[in-house]
Amino acid sequence: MTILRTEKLYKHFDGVKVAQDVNFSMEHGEIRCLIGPNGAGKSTFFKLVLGEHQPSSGEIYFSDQKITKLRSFERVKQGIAVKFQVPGIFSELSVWQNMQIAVQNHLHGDSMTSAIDKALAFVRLTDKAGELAGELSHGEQQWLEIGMAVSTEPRLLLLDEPTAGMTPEETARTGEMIQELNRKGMSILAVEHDMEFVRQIAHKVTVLNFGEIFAEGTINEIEANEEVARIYLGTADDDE
Amino acid sequence: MGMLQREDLKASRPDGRMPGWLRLINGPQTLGRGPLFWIVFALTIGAAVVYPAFADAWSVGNTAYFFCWVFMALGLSLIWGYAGSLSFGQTAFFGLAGYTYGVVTINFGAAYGLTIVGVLLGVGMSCLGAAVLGYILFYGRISGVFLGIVTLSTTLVFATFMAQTAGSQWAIGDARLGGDNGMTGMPPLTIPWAGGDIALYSGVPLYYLLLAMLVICYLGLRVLVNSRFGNVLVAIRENPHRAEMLGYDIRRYQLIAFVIGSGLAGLSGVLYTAWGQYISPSNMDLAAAALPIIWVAVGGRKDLTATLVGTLVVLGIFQNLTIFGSYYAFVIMGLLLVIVVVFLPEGLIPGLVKFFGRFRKRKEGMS
Ligand SMILES: Nc1ncnc2c1ncn2[C@@H]1O[C@H](COP(=O)(O)OP(=O)(O)OP(=O)(O)O)[C@@H](O)[C@H]1O
Ligand SMILES: [Mg+2]
Repeated sequence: MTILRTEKLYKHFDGVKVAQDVNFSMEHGEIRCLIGPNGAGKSTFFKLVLGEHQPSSGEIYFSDQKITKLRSFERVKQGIAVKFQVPGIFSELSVWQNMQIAVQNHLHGDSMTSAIDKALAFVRLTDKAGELAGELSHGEQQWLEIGMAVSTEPRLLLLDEPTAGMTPEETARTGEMIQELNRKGMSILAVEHDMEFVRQIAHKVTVLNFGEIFAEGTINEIEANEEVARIYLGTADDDE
Repeated sequence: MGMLQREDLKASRPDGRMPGWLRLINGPQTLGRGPLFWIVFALTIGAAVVYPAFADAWSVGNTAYFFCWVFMALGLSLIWGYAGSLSFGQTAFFGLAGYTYGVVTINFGAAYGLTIVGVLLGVGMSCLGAAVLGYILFYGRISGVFLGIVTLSTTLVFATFMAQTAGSQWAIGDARLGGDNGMTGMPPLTIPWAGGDIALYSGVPLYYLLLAMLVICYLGLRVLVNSRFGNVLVAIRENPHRAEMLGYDIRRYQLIAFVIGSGLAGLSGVLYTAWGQYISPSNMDLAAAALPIIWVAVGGRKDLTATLVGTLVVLGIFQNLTIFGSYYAFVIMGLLLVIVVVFLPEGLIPGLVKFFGRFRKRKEGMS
């Protein structure tokens, strides 16, 4: 059974095609990494899955249920959680309040408190519960957001560049977190640029280029693929 | 300043020993917290209770008049300060409720507690109006500046419409709408009583009634903003997109906050109309519509206590300025708004709290 599947998904912004005939599918319990050059449409794909953008055409299925017409908050309630590329915490509120806002929609009273405690311990922010979220370090803010996303025990977790700006130690720790969540049965789809990190966590890798699925396979297959190396090296040169 | 510590902002983890309602009334979404704050609060209430014994009748009536406005300000604090939607619609709902009170009480009189029915219908009409307008606004995804523009236009259209109702054909039953001159002749609030109804003209009994209502409203709103509902409002203010991605239908929350806040403007409207037995389009026009924004912005829109104190202080200053001419007063009010927005965008009171918080920290750091 697939946890997430798209069927002939298209999206264009004023003629610019950012998703083209995307037939994506991933299994329950899978960790999938989505890679591709800058502007390939990775974040846009997340936004389509979450209903922040409506597709120009095509369908999206979550756990074999069609969610294309659902509003964002309804999709989230079905069990999808997200950590965006741009940090999305409530910086003027305390870490605890951030967690509370994430959890209170699902749990009440003592079970809410223990879910928050559990999530904070998981992302190692227990000691920082009383601090303002905006005053955390960059890596801690990313973890807070991951903590908020996982506190509700979603079935599918979307992570857009979870390790951006993290130190190598923080990156390694994040990889462990993702694997721990996965062992508990959570399916995870992550956008990543750090290939070493992808190697650490991914069961399978999907390469997106110009809004199209360019290649798909295990990390070894993808790294051996010369076409993939070419599109990647091309943009890597631009970045330098 | 111990009662308004900046550090308090961070206090977060609920104290398990506290009963729920106390936790809510004393929660993190309100600046004033802790024992010292509540001691000052009790002393203030005590002073307000004995005040009529020491003040002359005019001052008591005038303070009651000030109290009438505070509900509207607290409502705006909820809509704008907590939920982040700037509304210029407060005076429209104020007027709608005031006229409704007039129509009901002029037609049906003040006996059998009918003025209280007038109050309820007035507030109900403003809630209904806010529900309709709010639905169009929030479900139409209107936000930011456009929210301000649409609410202001609605207010001005309503004020302009009421201003042209001078002719005798503009009447609902016995109640003449009265155009620019407004509607007059409605009875004051009247409480049915065994030995004869008590009419609350602008005197000591009205003062006490309004004081009690104000305290109840203030405490009730404290509970509301510190509840789950209040958490979501603040989340929407801080980052609406993120709030939606945490599974909240933000339009619904914005709409409910708008209806409650506008209903409070309606409450101000009926109380004002009953107090002065008068309501007119000038209570809703551009200048009037800007005033609640100024009260709330100057005191500190993101906090109920700051809004309450700020509104009373600004009302007092404004009244003293109008002695020199009302245009002059408006100019000064505008200047005050600009100065606050530029230098203390959170408002005077939170600005001071932050300042003293930093000051304390520095002192602690040195010792
Ligand atoms: N709202 C929008 N309106 C118009 N164009 C958009 C919009 N959002 C994204 N785009 C365009 O769509 C393309 C894909 O953007 P997207 O953010 O999905 O890329 P990405 O793969 O996430 O890139 P990166 O690695 O830089 O995060 C880009 O060319 C971008 O400019
Ligand atoms: Mg991206």
